[in-house]
Amino acid sequence: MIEEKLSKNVFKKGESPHIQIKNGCGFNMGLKAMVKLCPAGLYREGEDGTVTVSVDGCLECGTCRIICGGEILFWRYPAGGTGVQYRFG
Amino acid sequence: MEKFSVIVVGAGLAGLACAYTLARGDIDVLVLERGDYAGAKNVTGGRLYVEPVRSLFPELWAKAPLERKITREGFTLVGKEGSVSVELAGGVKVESYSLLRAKFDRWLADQAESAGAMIMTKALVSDLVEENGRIIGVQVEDEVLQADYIVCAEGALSLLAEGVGLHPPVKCENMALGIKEVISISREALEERFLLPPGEGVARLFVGEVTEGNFGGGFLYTNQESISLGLVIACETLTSWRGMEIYKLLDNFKSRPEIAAVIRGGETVEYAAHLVPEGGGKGLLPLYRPGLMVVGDAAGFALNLGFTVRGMDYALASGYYAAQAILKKRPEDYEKLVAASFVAKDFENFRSMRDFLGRERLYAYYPQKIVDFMSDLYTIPAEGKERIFSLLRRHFPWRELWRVWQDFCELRRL
Repeated sequence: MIEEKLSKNVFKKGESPHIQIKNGCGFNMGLKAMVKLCPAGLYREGEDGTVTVSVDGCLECGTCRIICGGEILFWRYPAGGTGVQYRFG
Repeated sequence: MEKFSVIVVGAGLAGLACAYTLARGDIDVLVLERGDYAGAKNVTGGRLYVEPVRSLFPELWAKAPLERKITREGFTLVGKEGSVSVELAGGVKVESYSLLRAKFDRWLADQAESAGAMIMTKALVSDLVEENGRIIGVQVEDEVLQADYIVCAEGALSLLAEGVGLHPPVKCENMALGIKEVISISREALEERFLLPPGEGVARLFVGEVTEGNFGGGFLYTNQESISLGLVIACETLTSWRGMEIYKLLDNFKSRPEIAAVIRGGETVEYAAHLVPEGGGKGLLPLYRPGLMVVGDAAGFALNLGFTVRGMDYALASGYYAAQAILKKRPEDYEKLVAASFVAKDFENFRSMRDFLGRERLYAYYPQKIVDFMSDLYTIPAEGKERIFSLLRRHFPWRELWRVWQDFCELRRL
């Protein structure tokens, strides 16, 4: 289970999500691919086919940024001192 | 406003090597790191080859928190069922060590601080600040910090170099995705399972079914009291991915008998994912523009050679060269220093490596084929054994041999 894997990590939630799907882009094919590709399993496809993302547990790999591009995703690094903090790396 | 001589963005190996070298040369340098501590956002496979960078930091190595010296290494061709392994033991001449970045980077940051560098953590640089064509500072939240030179050591996904137009947007074909679990296992169990003398370690790569026959592979490194186990998959493969969820691929890898036996009883203590720049060999990216130097993964300094992957030694070296160029007050020479170094030499020599490794047959054909062949070779049936040549012909008919020959001919380019 991916939730169990993520639960091993130290994760500090930020104030606002550092990844957002731009308006009207929820049906993008790249986004749909991310449902399988996101190593943290953070992309979900709803019953109506729109894709949503939750950043809790994000590993900050940036795969979605390079698969989908800046046109689909508003993608920044999380604010300083938030997000995943690797203890082993 | 306070102005620094140099601001380094990112406390990874390249950034810290640069800051350490500058501080030892009495240059005031500030390192900005977005994580809680140096190494908090960094991930390696991984192992560090010491030889190429030993002379750049001769005083560092005796006390460096390295995990295990790699004295056995090899690769495993993985089929749907079964696998074939080749391992070099006793004859490993190169000096390399497994390591964990949170520990190593934090230590390197301490060395840089002791030498006089200033390290500010929890500080995210959102933009570079430009004036009259020169980079003069960085934006940290609502504050601008100025410096004579900015060293961008942002890591594989470098949005800063992209943002000021020094680098084109990151392309899928130049990247791979790495995912990794650190699995804790006692020192004794580890040394017993891998037949290791105390302090020595093993490195193994896996190719074939571990990525469902896609461009990429698996890796296993032993640390002092843990195993780093993971997968790397080329991002260009991901764009047309038809396989299972990436994280399930790692679970399948873990449950294979070859792996399950060595990690049994171990507890996963961390799960990480990171991009790996693998464009290597397609030429170096621009590294310099007035006021700005790019080092490490941000500059694309990593090479996948198939049998091994390198990046950390390049990162340390590029940070060192950037610092040397600043110390000599000739920052524009940074590109020349890199061009004259082992880094550029490797990139030139292995220019064709990425294209070669992109051949699907290396993942989807050979591993399974060799496993099947070996499996039949070792079979002793009750009704009498098949002749060897007939077995060979059955596994490798002429048309297959022709394709094998074509693949072999491609090796000349490497």
